[in-house]
Amino acid sequence: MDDLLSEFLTETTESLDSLDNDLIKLEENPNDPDLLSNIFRLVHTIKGTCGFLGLPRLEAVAHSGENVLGKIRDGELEVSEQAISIVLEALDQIKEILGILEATESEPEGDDTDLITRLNAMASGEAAPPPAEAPPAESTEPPAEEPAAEEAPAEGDIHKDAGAAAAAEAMAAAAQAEGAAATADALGSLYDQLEGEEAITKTVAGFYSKVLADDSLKGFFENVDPDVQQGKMVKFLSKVLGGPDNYDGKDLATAHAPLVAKGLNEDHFNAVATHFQEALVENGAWGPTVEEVMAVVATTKDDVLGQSEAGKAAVAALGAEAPVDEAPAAEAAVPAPAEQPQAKAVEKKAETAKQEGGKESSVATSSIRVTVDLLEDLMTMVSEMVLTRNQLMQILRQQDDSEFAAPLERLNLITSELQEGVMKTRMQPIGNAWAKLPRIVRDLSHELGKKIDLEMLGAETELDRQVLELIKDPLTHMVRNSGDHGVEDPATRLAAGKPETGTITLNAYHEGGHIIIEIKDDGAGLSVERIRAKALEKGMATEAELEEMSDHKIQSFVMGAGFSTAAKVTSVSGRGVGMDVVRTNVEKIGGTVELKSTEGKGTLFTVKIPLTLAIVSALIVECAGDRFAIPQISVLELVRTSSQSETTIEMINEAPVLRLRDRLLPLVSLRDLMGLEDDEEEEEEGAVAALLAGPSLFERIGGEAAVNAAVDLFYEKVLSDVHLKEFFENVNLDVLKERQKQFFVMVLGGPDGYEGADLATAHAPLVARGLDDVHFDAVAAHLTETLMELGVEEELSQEVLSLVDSTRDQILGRAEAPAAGETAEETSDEENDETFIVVSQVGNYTFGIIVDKVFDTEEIVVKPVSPILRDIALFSGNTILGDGSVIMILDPNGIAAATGETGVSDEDAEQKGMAVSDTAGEKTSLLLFHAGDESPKAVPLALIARLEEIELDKVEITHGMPMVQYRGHLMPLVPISEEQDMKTEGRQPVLVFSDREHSMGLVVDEIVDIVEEVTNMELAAERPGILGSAIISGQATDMIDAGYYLTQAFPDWFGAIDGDSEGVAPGRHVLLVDDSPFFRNLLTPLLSVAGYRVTTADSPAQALEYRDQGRDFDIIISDIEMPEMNGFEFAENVKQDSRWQKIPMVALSSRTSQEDIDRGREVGFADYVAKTDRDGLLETLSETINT
Amino acid sequence: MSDAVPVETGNDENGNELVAMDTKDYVSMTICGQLFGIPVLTVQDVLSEQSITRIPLAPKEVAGALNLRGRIVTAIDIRTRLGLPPRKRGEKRMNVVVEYKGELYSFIIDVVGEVLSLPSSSYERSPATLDPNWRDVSAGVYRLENELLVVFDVTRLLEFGEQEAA
Repeated sequence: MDDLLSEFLTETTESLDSLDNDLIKLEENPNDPDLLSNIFRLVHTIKGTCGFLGLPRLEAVAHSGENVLGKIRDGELEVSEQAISIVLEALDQIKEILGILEATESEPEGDDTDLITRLNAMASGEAAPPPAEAPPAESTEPPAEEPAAEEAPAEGDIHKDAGAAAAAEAMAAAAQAEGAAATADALGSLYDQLEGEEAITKTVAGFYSKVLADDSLKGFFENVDPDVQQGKMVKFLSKVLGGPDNYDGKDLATAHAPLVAKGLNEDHFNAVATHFQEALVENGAWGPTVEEVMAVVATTKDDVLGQSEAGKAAVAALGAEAPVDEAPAAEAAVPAPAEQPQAKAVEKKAETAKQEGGKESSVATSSIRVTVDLLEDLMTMVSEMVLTRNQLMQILRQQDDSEFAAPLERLNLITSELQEGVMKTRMQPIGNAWAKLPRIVRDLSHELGKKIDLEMLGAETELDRQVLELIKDPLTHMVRNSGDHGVEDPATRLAAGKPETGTITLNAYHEGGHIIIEIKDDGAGLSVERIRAKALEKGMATEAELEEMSDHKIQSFVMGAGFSTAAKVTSVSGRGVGMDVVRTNVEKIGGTVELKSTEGKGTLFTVKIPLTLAIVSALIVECAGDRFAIPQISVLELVRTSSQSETTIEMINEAPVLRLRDRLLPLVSLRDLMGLEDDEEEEEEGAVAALLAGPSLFERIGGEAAVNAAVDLFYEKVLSDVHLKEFFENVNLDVLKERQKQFFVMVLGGPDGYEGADLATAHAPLVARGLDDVHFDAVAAHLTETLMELGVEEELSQEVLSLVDSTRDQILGRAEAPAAGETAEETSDEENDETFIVVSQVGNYTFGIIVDKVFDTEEIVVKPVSPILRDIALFSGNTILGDGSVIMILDPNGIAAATGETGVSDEDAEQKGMAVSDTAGEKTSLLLFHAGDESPKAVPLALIARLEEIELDKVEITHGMPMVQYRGHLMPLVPISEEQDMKTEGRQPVLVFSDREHSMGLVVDEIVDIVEEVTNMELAAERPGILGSAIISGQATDMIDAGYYLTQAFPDWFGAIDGDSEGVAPGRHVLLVDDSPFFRNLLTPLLSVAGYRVTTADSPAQALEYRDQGRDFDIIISDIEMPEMNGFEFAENVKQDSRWQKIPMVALSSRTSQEDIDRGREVGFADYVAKTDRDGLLETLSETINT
Repeated sequence: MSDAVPVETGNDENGNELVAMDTKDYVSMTICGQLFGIPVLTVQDVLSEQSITRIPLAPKEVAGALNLRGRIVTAIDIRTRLGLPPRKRGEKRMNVVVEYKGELYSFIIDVVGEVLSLPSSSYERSPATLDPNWRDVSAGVYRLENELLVVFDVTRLLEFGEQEAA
């Protein structure tokens, strides 16, 4: 059976059972609102599910039931016995239908009109009809005359076309009359009483022969094919009497009108009726049946004769027939047949009951419902059990021969099976998450006027319930998106040469411990143009950035927060909380979403999610003495490298790479990534560490001074030893000594400054020259002497010597592997012989993680890390290993992100970038250069007039200052610092600062770059000429104070301008309000250069203080984005007070949208200038002041 | 500590049941010779020295993680938290385990002392001259006969992570 259906049956059966009880309880406590709402909810659910599954009959009944309950809930209807009964009856009906549904898997045919009518009547507050009127019982009810009359005209409406005037139709009419009457009550019964079609056919045949033999009627049947007519009549009768409905003739009045026209009257009708009755009796109809049939016939008389609607003549014509029919009625038979249908009904009920019983045993007992909590608990316990099992197995492995081996092995097996079993209880087909999609797509296509097909493949693919729950909403959202944004409307599709109907395809399948879900549509695809525009509009990227991006990357913006490309917001999607939520949710469970879209062709989303979250198989690795787990699913392979093996780690600059099957694999050193240091490792373990326990030898010996003294003395001794002397020929002793000192300091536990090669490598040339044990002993003896001479305690020198001795094998090149000599480990790790590379894959990015050791894989239970550690992206969780120790689980995603690759992390980085620019504000173009000392320097590009290279032989010295002729003027050259050496020949780069007549050249060594960066001055400088330091392009950079150098060149630079500038009002006093010290520092020289006197305020509050102090300005330049009081508020404040009311104000901001400009004008800013627009600002100032 | 009247500032979450009672019970502990106390009800466990897995990249206060009967406990080195010199090699240390917001944390301290019942009459708010590091994490001071006991505010002790994240 269809899973959905069987689930529905189980669920509904359960609901119905509790409903029965609840309803009865409700009857006892009519005022229990909780109970009532529970009932309402259950019925509502049943109704909803039925509608969803396409079970209209059930739905209709449930709906009406719900109506009644709804009225009760709303207080419009009282809880009465009647109401409860009728609802219960509806439930019974539902159960009955369910029974058949389960047996046949399809909803049975049938009519619940009566029940529904009564339910509706109840709901609308009318007294309910007698509740005893259960549908099957109705068949035995005596026929009611009244409804028949109603039925007939209704029939008349249906068959409107006036047809051929067939005489035999008159007879049919007679029969129709009967039938019409029969419809009034139980239709099935009369048909049954007449014993089906065969009997009717016989009756009709007998009836016809009688009619045709009757001279008074014969005339009506001329020119008519009696066979056709008979057939029609049989069909009509069978219909009217409740048999199969095959009648396709005309309605009574129309059919008989021609006969009436010919003169058919009441007499004729009576005659026909008599004949009919005779025929009935001859064919063995029972008395009451005949009576009933004839009563029906009689009621049609008016109709047939056209008296009800047509003329009198028709009445007369048919009237003749009536008596004919009615006469035989006298020969009535007994009511026995009536019992038959009733018996049948009973039988049917029993059958249903049986089915119902069967269902309970089949569906209800073969599955039970368990709360999710219970399963979760079970899962947790199994997880713990797996861990304990692991611990036991670990202990077992350490014991060669244990009697526990066999039972533990068995426990191991059972635990694994148990784990698998419990996991299975949590596994559900992904189709469950899709169940609602067809409906959603259907509604969507209606709402949007599109034609959309939904194809679902791989619905049986199973995954963990928890994952399923988490993926449900994102999937639904994506399908909605595809329908809403993706698939075009039919016209567009046709125009694009595509089939009118769009297709959304869902495909799910397993791939290596993951489930891949594809959501594909053949719609319009993502419009790169629109996304670009939107990204720009939303400030997610600058135009320049967008220029450089690939289409795919631009398309990926749709996964960013607050992005929606739908032109209009529909009820479906386009509310701007779209794909980013999807992505976040998917990533939350360790999955990824990828997007591939071709404009015009369609879009494909690929969601990759882990099968389960709880237990994962992980590779345990070690690095610097710490163990970590790497989820097995992201491990592709393991590579062992050593200096001996063919595969070695190579370095490009400082980036390690590995040649792996003709491809270059980027490597990440876990050690570096984690900031793990070797000496820490040694502190933890290792022979050296053991020696160093307690205050380090270094400290005890007397620190660096003692070591230096010892090494000097030691070398003296060694060099005076003839046996050893030869080894030190041609060696730079100072370097060697320095190294040796560093080495000792490090080995003895002092600060680690050793930079040499490891011992083996360093001594290899000596060994080649013949260095052996004898020499080593001699050296050691010299060292002992040295220590003694320096007065080192015996105990201490013993320790040092044993430490030295432990390096013997290494120095002599006899150490096999790093493990052999612990000291090897403290030396550089690249030289470390054997390392392992865990080749991992994240998305499409493959990289290697360098670790020290690899252990086996273990099943681990992922536990979330403590909230304090959540920010560390490199860990996805932690776990307890078999030996009881806690280890961290590495997140390959995080590692990949840390190396700065992978699409996923790219986006993250972008988002972070955005966040930064959002909060930190404005970017400035800066010129980076080198001059004087090492540190890079920067100056705002806006201040610089030109970049020139001057030929040094053109430099002249006047006034003790170097000058060049530049554009007809003398331009002084100012060095950044006194120490700066100016070259004497060749060319020298110069930054030219210029102001109308004055120019000044700042001499620099090298112009490095122009960058656009957000600058936050971090350190104020004490040196003149430097404003402070900022991090630019990742480097600490000095910000040059241009104003300082201007005055160096022309001590009266600012003053000189005063009074002699055209256009610009000289010496006008500017108040500059900006919270950013950087901009204050940038603009002050700029404005000064232009001839303004500048006063700065770091906040509107400070500016207002100036006002209170009674200071006056010619113009106020204010930033807009400022904390506490923004520029708009500041302007409002200024304009409200009389003191500064007249001072023109210019707004300065990085936000220059029309909206901002309007707002600015509204609050009183005369103009609005972009912060980086140097010329614009000066122009605006001059304009503003002069007007 | 803005609250001058600790009796009214009972914080149930931390178990600082400072509600109108005359004496309160504290687990006393010593760090660098200074006596500290944590409300007894907040303490889940007291452990001797445990093997602790260090966690790279974690805030410096986080000494690592340890396994307490199948639960992972984050260990916080209180010395580091208080800006005290690190423990020397071989120096004794103990763990006081507390539960906070459903997570277990272990405070690594030098020595755990006995449980003390302290009268609220000997309670005082932390002196203003206290090192900001200390003032931040202390809920007040008790005057004992021979020495002073600083009461830890468990929430504040664990807040460093959030501060750094913010």
